[in-house]
Amino acid sequence: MRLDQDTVKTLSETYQLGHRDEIKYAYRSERGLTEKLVADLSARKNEPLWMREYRLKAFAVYNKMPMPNFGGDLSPIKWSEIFYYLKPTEKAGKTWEDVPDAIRKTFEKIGVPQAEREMLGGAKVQYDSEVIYGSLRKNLAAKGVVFLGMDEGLAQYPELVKQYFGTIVPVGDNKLAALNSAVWSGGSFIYVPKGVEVGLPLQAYFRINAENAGQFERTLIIADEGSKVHYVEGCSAPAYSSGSLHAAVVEIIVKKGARVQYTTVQNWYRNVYNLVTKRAWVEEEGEMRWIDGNLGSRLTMKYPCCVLAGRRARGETLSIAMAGSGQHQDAGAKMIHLAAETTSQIISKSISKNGGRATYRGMVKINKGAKGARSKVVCDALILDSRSRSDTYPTNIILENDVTLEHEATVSKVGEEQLFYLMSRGLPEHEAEAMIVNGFLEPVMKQIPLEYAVEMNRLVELEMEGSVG
Amino acid sequence: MKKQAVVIMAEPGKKELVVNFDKKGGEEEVLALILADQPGDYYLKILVDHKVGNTFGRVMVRGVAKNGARVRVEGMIKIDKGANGVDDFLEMRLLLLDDKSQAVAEPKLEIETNEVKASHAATVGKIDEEQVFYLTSRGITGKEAERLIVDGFLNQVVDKIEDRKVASKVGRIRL
Repeated sequence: MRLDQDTVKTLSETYQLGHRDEIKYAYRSERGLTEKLVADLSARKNEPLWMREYRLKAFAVYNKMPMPNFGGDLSPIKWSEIFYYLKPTEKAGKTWEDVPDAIRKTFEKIGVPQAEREMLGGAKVQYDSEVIYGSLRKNLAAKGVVFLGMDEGLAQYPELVKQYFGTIVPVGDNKLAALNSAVWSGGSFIYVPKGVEVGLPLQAYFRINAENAGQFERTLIIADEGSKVHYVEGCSAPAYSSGSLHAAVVEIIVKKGARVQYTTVQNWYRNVYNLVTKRAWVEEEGEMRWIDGNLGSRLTMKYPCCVLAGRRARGETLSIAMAGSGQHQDAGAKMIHLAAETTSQIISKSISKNGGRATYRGMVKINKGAKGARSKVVCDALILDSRSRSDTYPTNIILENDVTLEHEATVSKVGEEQLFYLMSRGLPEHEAEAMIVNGFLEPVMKQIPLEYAVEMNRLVELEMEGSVG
Repeated sequence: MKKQAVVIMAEPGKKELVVNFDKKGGEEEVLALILADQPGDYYLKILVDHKVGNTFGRVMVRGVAKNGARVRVEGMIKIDKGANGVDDFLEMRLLLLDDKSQAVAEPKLEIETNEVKASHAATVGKIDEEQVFYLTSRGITGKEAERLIVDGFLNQVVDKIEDRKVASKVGRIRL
């Protein structure tokens, strides 16, 4: 789980958010995970009894379940050295002035306060285990929109949380989901009332600061009938030589006719194990869209899922993965069609370079009775050099005959002719290559809201800079 | 194409085919037909392993399922490190002829070098109703129309079979 010092130095030159803050934590658990820690965590958060019991049950399940037997290599993770709970401050700030200087400066560097002023409906900022800042525009609050940290959500809307928490991703879904259920802290709680359209995106930003940190945010989004919301998350971490663990669970309920978009710009430093379970339950004529950009981390295992439970429900996943030196992006999507006339689409674009490995892993399942269901999957991969690797592992399970399923995938390198064409017009090789990569990603990029496409493009370009020559 | 391998599954069971490319310049085509008209599991597994470069492969699978047949096709194209200049395409198309039948399609790729062309495509669905309508509107019965469409679908593979004996054997076991 260690990168050597030279690698850290080289990497942190291209990674712009690799600094760390020297802060005094309000509370830091011992390394490693015990039942006592789980109970203590719940007590510190003053949680209702049911949540404490839920956590303890999840801890028992976690201990019994095996590690996933697919995806990347999890063996370097030193589970007993991880800090499972790191509380940076006593209280979440309502204004940036409430946030300690060192932490605020980090978020200014990332650009969160500026984005919040200019283009967001609300923002949540999580630093290690806790949400340390949150805001929501007044007009949205007036319409009944709720945007809180998950812990605040549990305190203020206990009934709503109890009704939905763990219903989309149950405790025993997989080992990492069980771990999250036991030690979750932070994340977002969003409720959008019937018919309310949230025009500006709600954003959460996750920052890991401590070495060997474990971050286990838990997000629950409920979009009531006919509502609309766009949630965006970003993340980054300091350049340490030893790794951190990020194991999130995200549950989304898309009620009848509601539309939810969830955009991720994942830019963890290359020492972070990013093992995330994301799932949406989509009711009649609802629409769920995952936009998943995975650029950072050492290993990402993430397959956002849509359960299309109501007639004419629609699910869509647009995925971009970029795997450089020492990185393995094991990403993809799942679409489960339970009802008639449901439709889904998955578009995945991956790039591997400098010995990196990009894997598409996906599943489309069309259940008996989902008559008239349609699904289309397109996976394209670009391999930039002979040391890198690309895999495609799709599973299509079709239990109903009145359906249409299409799947296609291609793997290729940057065309010599394309390169030659651009270079003969005076572009240096790395610029020509970056241009071709941009063209390859364009079909997905143009689906992404402009501000995030710009951010994603910038990150891709930064990644490309260190790669050629 | 220098070599051709033909796999025909007309009964439930498991068939496994491994194609190893270990000499430069190797060319091989895999043609597979699954004629699944009995209840039960039909499991076809094809591994194409390009251990060396400058090799050329094509895998074509056509399958039809009815009467409660469950078809599973797992196809893997592997291109090992350093095997530059590989060109391969895996195509699997499955037709579900009634609502008692099921299909699982798993087209996989593992590519460890960049000087390659590798792709796959898979489709699962029922008979195109517009094609049936076209034929029946010209006086052909629904049953006959279905037979013609299925034949045309399977012939995409059958017509490529070079070994006449094998081809005529396929003709006899058509659904």
